[in-house]
Amino acid sequence: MARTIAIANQKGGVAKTTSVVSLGAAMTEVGQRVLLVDLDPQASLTYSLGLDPDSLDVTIHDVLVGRTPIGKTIHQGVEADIVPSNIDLAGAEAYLLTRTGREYALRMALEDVQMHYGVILIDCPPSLGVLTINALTAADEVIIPLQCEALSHRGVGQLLETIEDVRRLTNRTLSVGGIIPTMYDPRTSHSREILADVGRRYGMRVFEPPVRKSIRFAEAPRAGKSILRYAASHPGATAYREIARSIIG
Amino acid sequence: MSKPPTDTEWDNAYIDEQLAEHLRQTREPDPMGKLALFSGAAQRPGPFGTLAIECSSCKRESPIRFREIPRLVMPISLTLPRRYHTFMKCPGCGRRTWVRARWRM
Repeated sequence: MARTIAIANQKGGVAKTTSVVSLGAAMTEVGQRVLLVDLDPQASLTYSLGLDPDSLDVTIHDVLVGRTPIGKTIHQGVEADIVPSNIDLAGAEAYLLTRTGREYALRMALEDVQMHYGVILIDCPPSLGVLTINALTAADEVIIPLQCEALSHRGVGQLLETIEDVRRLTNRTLSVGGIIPTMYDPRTSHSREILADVGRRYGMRVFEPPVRKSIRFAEAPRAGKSILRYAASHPGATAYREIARSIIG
Repeated sequence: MSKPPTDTEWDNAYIDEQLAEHLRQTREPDPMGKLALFSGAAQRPGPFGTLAIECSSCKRESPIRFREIPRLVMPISLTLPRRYHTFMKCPGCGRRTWVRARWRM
């Protein structure tokens, strides 16, 4: 059975998608069978792995509205398999809001493919809506990427409250794996202070090493690759390899 | 330059803060707020209570409306004298499984 990990933070631009792609590629490197699930209507994960979201016949949207089994939406990739998304997923959110049992749509869909994978990574949208609730209900654990900048921890408290609601109402075994510090700039004391503060404030595991800010992370998706293939020896790639090893244990 | 607050103003501010904290802690969760994201939690109980279905698979108790029952028991349903007495679709997890019903006040 696959271990299902949701990568969530309702703040946008904190490197959720980058973390999913990079961790997925790093886990594949060490022999894990990895499935990535794009649960964001912006489809950045889909795009990052070289797919054109607008030309896809079936996506996670079709799965969540019950039209297509998840197996038929999977695209096999070099770095990981992916269940893609596109803007139609915004409609699935509206559709699910009227359904009883809406929290379980993704969990039930993933049951069909769990035996084929070692790890399933879910890229959550930057909001605390019904799609994020679906991801948290389907997941065994949640990992929170956090930008090492002022105000970045605002919202983490709300996310933890939501995780508590999910534990109470739909998934009592959900655990918090920890925080991935992203966009870290070691030259500034500010980044170091934020990092120290976050670990203290929330009493959570902070994965090491922090992932440094780099233009390579912006360039990699344009090539349809993860940082691990685009710049294999870059410090960012090395950081994600180490974090992936810590997560796998 | 603004005047520093008097002792009374300090006291009033402290009382307001304590009151706000008390209200935060004792406030009933709004079912139309963030709990509306969860299908079970969003439903207010009626004046005579709510029919709730407990599922033997997901172990959750999901309140349902009477108009939802036909959809959940179709196309086949079965009732036997056992703990989870009725075979039907769980409104929570969507599986066809054994459930039991209970009246929640």
